[in-house]
Amino acid sequence: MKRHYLILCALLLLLLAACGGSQPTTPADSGDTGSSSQTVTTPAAEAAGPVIVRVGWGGSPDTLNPGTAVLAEAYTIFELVYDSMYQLQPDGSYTLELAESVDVSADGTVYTYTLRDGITFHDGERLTASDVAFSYNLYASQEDFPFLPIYTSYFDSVEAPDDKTVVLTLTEAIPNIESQLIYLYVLPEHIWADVPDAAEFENTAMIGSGPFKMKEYRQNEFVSLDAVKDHYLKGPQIDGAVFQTFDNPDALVQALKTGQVDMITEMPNTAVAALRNDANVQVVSGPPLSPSVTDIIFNVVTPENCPPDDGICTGHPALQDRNVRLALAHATDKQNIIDVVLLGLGAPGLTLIPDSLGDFYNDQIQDYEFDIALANQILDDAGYVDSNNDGVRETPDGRDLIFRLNWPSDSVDSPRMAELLAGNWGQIGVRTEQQSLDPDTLTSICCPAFDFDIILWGWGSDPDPSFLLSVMTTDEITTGTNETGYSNPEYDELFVQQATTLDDAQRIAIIHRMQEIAHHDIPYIIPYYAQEVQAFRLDRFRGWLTDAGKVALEDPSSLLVIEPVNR
Amino acid sequence: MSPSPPPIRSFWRTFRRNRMGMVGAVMLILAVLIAVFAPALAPYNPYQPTRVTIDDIYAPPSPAHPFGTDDAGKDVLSSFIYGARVSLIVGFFASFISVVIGGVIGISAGFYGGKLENGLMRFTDIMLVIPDFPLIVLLVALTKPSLLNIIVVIGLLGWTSSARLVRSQTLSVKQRKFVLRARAIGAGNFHIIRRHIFPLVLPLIVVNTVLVISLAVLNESALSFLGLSDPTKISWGQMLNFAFTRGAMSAGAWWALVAPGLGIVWLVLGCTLLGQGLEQVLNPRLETHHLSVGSKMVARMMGMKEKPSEVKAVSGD
Repeated sequence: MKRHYLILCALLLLLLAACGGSQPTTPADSGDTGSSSQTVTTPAAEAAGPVIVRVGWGGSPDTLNPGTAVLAEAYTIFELVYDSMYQLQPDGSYTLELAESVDVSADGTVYTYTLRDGITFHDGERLTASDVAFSYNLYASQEDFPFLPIYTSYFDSVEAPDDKTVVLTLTEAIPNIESQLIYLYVLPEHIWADVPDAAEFENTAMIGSGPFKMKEYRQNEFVSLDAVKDHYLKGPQIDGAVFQTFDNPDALVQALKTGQVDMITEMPNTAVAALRNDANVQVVSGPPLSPSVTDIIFNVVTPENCPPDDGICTGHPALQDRNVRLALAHATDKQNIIDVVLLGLGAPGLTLIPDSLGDFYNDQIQDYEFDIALANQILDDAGYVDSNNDGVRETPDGRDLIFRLNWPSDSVDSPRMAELLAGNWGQIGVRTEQQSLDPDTLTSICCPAFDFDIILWGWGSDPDPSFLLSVMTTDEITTGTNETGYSNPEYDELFVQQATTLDDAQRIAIIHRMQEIAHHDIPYIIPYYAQEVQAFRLDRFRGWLTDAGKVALEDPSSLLVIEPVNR
Repeated sequence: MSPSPPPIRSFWRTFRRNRMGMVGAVMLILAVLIAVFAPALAPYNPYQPTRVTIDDIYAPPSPAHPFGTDDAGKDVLSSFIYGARVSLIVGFFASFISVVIGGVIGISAGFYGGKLENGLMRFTDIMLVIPDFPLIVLLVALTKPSLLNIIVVIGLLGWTSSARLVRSQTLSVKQRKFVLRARAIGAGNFHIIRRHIFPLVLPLIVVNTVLVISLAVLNESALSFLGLSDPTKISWGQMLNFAFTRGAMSAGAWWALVAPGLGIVWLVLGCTLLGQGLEQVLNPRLETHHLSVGSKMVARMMGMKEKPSEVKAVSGD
């Protein structure tokens, strides 16, 4: 039952914001003794000491075990400390990381990777093909790892015929092997093979092969990393990085303003204007590298699709009618929501596939324009009229169009969005009963129980559209991943097709068609695609990545290329 | 026969001389007037959906918006005026519930004594040691956070102090001669309570009501600040919640925090001052006598700290 929320977090690999609010944190400087000598250096007087980048963020990794980590902050650290077969670039493309070349068999099921020379773990041991095979088999066989098994579901076998060669055999050809492998970090076999229960392993030493190595980790306080200068691929120009946890987003902004940290990876959008006026600070914003979508979920599950075991299915019958959803869509002033909730830092949304997914995003879809008169007309024509003049329309059989509207209590923006929606929808004779619920309660009424009318929530995903597309398939209704109960045989058919279509252009065409169907049927209203915002100081380091199409919110990218200003 | 409560005129004469009480009364009356005439006083209707632009968000105070605007571009002054309604409604009704429960339990326990008193007072003790606010949070989270539920929950948990005070006053009144005489000539329990006990306990109940209002206002604000209030009702706590979570400090929008914050202080301070003023006037034991050491003694009995400067002056002699 918790899957919905946890997958959301797990897949929000590089996005800090979504999970940041829900975890307890302590003030950052409370336990900073271990690294205080480095972190309090002033910008001017530091030529002698090690050059440490200080990053401020709102969260903290939940664990250092890549198999069991849930929070996005953990994955940020994994990206720095571990390597995987592929690396996601800020432009959305993939490059080989551990391997120098890959050979794909004609039928697309056998991938033969040749590893680069001279890769070592942080403890000096060589990283060989058998470490890769060991790691992949661990992820595939370990049932207690909550999320990673979905990436190994197409694995048939992984073998290491010699030190430099990894042979990965799949059960069938798939188009997106890169996105399946980027989060399968390669672990040292000589350490993990001796671990009795990998799911319980705390992994505090965290030996990896990445450009940074673990120095010290204190949950909810800080993570301190040392640079691996002689990394085989990309030695950082700095000596280390410290990630400090801040309890309050306003404090995070202040820390950047005063130079206490060099970079912040999240902030309230209200801070953007003030920070842009600061000559020492640069603010960048853009679509996130890994998609994060906010959605307005309609309960459209039909009685015959109601999950037999868990389903309660108390949704308002009017929401089954596309005309009602269409009217609500026309009555939703997305730009106003973007202005108020995001201070303009976002774009109107169409379907679950956001603009940050590049070619997969269908930008040809014409959205339902904001038109109260048209929305009223649609409801009038469909027989929803206010016959008793109480300001609320009724269904033809006399039930008021009053919808329950819920959202997770840890969401900062949802209350304002609910208020705006109530204002918009009130103009077409639709009323809402609003209540925020804690995420566990929301999960229990959401799906597969379908004990709700409308929910404001969201999804995070890896950079491949498969997962987000699967959310609307009939198969996922009983699992609870399909939160609307939407079911369309044509859509289901296309989903199966795209999963095994190897030709990129063909797959994209199918995915575009799926978005058209989803947009036409309106199981969701997507109010916006939010931009990510981060900011950094220019007085200590230069070379921050700012011109990439998307914000590289995974700090690795910038941390690998920035260099001290006065060197 | 029965001693009547001090006539209203003599009460007013005494109360008028109590500066603290008068200040509190004026503050409270002002807040009530603002709440009652909110639609006339507020420049905008905060419940009316309006289309705003990004420039309207956290706009500083200006002639159009004397208290600036909030995170949704709404006029802070208007929300502030309307927000007084929720605080006062919750304050008055919740404290009414509290005091009714506390009064009934206190009088019953004090008057009947015995097993009933023992049972009721142990129950009061149990309620007294349960930390109120966490329980309120839990109950509100479990029920639907409507205004009614919040009133009921705060009311149901705020009666313990009233019950204890009313009981002890009842115990002392019960022993007085006129009560014993009334019983001797055959007056029933209910008659005695209604005609003799209640009128003498009433002043204490009035004082307690005013003091419990401030508690209820604080609890309601805290609930709203935690996002547990009815999201469709504007209250001061909710305004603080939005300002705090949606980056008012980062935007430098102090006005979004100051207005509702001062509103809560205003109301709570007004209730406290009025309550203490009334206590001094109505409770004979706290009445100052021109021969007694006076103010110091009263101050100590009310649990207020003596001013350090006074202490120093005494020891310096």
